[in-house]
Amino acid sequence: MNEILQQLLNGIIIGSSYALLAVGLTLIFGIMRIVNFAHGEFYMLGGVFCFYLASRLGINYFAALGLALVLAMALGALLERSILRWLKDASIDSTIIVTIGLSVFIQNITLLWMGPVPRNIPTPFSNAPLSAFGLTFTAIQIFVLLVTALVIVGFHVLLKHTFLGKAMRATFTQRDAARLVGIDTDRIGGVTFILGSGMAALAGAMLGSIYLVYPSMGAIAVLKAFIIVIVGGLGNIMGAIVGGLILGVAESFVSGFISSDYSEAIGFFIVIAVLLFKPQGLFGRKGQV
Amino acid sequence: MRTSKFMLTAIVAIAAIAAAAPFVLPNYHLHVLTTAGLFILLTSGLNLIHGYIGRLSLGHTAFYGLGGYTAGMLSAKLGLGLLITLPMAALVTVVAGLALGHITLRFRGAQFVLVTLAFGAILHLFANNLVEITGGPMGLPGVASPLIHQNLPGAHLFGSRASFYWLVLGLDLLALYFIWRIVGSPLGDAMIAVREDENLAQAVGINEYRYAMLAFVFGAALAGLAGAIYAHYVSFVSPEIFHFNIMIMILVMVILGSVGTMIGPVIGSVLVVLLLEVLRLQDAWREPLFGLILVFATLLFPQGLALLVRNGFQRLFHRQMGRQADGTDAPDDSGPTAPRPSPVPAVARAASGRADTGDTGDLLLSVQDLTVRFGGLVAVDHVSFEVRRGQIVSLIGPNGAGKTTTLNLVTGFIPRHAGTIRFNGADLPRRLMPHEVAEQGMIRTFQTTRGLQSIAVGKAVETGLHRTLGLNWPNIFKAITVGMPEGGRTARAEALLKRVGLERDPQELTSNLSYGEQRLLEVAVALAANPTLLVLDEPVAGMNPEETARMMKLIRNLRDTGVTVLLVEHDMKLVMGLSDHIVVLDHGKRIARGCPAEIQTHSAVIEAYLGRGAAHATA
Repeated sequence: MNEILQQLLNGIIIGSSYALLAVGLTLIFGIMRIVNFAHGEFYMLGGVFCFYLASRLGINYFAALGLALVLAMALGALLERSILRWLKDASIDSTIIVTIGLSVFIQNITLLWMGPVPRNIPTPFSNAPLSAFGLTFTAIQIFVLLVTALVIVGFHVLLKHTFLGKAMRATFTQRDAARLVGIDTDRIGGVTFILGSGMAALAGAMLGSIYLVYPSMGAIAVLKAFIIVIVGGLGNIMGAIVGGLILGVAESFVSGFISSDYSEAIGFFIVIAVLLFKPQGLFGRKGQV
Repeated sequence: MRTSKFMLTAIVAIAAIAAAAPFVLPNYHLHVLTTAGLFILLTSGLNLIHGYIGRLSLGHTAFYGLGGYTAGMLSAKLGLGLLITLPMAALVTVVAGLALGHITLRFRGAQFVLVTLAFGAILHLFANNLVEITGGPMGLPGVASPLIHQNLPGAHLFGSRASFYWLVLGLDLLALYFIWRIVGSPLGDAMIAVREDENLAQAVGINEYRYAMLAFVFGAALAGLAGAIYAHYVSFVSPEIFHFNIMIMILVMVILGSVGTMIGPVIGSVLVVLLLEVLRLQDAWREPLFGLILVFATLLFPQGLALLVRNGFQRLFHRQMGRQADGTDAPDDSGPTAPRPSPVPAVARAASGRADTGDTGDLLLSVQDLTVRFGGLVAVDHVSFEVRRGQIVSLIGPNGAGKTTTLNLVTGFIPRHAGTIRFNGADLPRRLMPHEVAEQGMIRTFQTTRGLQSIAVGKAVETGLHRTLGLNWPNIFKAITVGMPEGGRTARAEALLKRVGLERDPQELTSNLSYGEQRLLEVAVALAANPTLLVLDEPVAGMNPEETARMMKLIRNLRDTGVTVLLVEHDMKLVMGLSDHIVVLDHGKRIARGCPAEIQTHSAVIEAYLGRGAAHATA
């Protein structure tokens, strides 16, 4: 029983970061109509920037974390302005191919820059295991859970209770209608891409602080993000959050009770099961997208 | 045609030069060409799926890997030779393609992309983890590399790589031949119709699923063969064969070369393989450069090299041609012509059927208690009406009355919740697909369509002929292998254009037509499908008075030559001027029916359109 709760906790901690990653992807897809294959690279850059600032430049971990986010979001802004806006009326296929190209480029430039060796982000948290209610965890795990939960809640507030959020939701549901009532959908798209990239970068920095960072981590992450959005229902934010948690918990159970070799496979099995029995995803409506 | 003869000569010449290459080129160059040849198998298949059906599959490497592992295991574990491993690889990938297609082809757009991507990743994972079967990440060594030609006399004249080179070249030519047959036949037209507008395609009886599956499975088999040859060629197969990088590579080749052209993937494969060889000197920068080329090639030349060159030439010679010019240099065997129906099929049988109008005519369509609910809203509520043979029947009502929904229900685009539909003497089951309804002879047009935008006018009409061509599986097989007689399709299309009064060059692009002309073209496409009942959804919406008058004349003319017409329309002048019988809907219910004179004075109708006061005032 305890073991089950323990794996559940581990799963929720990983899953919260997955949720963050997938919400970013969903926002970008929903508002900009871009299936962003470069999303995983922002996840990777979040981790790599954080490592570089904290380890190589010796900056305080929290400052490094913040700075890494700013850097990743700035890069997001740059890409959106220079390349993605070019694609505004392009077919979904063109956007897919362009973002794949961006992903290949960013990943390999990072590889040239820091080499393939996985690195550790130094954090001020002690590695000593803590325990409460019979569960074992580390301080960094709790930090990660708190930060991701806070950001997701904060994002929810932004979406529901601010003017920007309202404009984003309007663009999400009906882009043309949003344009008709005077919403600058291009600007909303720009803000969305920056926010979405920031979420991915934060997820990467968070999981990178628990595990390791390396240039190819984004390629795996983007696959996971896609699994989550298929499972949750493409273009559904709630689906992305729940899907992220489901994937995290499922992976954690598989590596805890079966074998860590198959923890990555479980996501794909979930995808097949969902596709066979509920092809529109858990939260997707028929005819959506 | 002179151009196609020239093309044929050019192709034969290139093939002959390519076949002679092993006698002059060193092994290294042969190796590069063999690699390009393997990629041509992959890209041509992907192009058929992406370029013709319009689905971007990112799981294409799944079949490449599956073929590689099938051949690899049969060879390394059972010691079987090429003659068995290659057909087995093709067989396994065809079966896998059918299974995967069955699951994935129900998705469109971004969902299809992601789902196929997931399947590729799953197989990669299996290859890595099922160590007992696949050898795991270390791969499967010891795949036999049979050098067939060393037993041939004169083997010393050419390099040791020659037999694989010839094998790949032969398969490339065979694959390109089949694809040429497919895209040049009505199969290719059907695929393009599906790509351009799947609703329109279904409305003229094209079974979207069948053609999507055909392209998908054919592409899968080509990829499987490529994988199998590759495994034998390098005597080794590892999970890297499933790697997403290979998928990216073949995608780049297809896009760079031009999606939806036959020559594009060939150009793309050769160019990219050569480019990679050049970049090999810059090994560390190879991948990032590749990424950049991908981004900027897509942004700057979204149409790809083949079309860039072709369009450049055409501009040079001021020639107007369709985008899928591949269709125009199609197989042109004017052999023994099939028994060909008259250009406007329904017309011939016409005059007799039209003799009796009014309520005495026999029943063509009978709709009883048709009902559909969207959530809590009953959009169509127990609607019943009839269409008699040889009549023009109009379905009218205020906005939101459920007219278009009724058409969608009758033509199978929305499944009904209740009610029976009897058409031409047979009941239409509830779960009938739109193309199956069309198959029965009920052909519809749409209020708004994406339309067949990027093809020639004549080609567009030819896609409508699909239903009349008898394309069952044996005929499809024949079309792919030995080709299909032209059968006067071009002439029939031209006759139909004349019939609807669209005096345009059949080579003109549909996107160059005016709005009114496009609506006429839609009618021509529908007529090509030889309708027993022609269903028109707001045929004159948005037209100017002159265009409206033209359309009215056409519809009346169609009726007079035996086509029964059911239409939804807001233009009262047209409705009252044309209809033999009118059915009025309001809020999903039928509130009246009768001849135009009856409807004009019907109080419920006036009330529905003008409100209660108006009804009293006229009463």
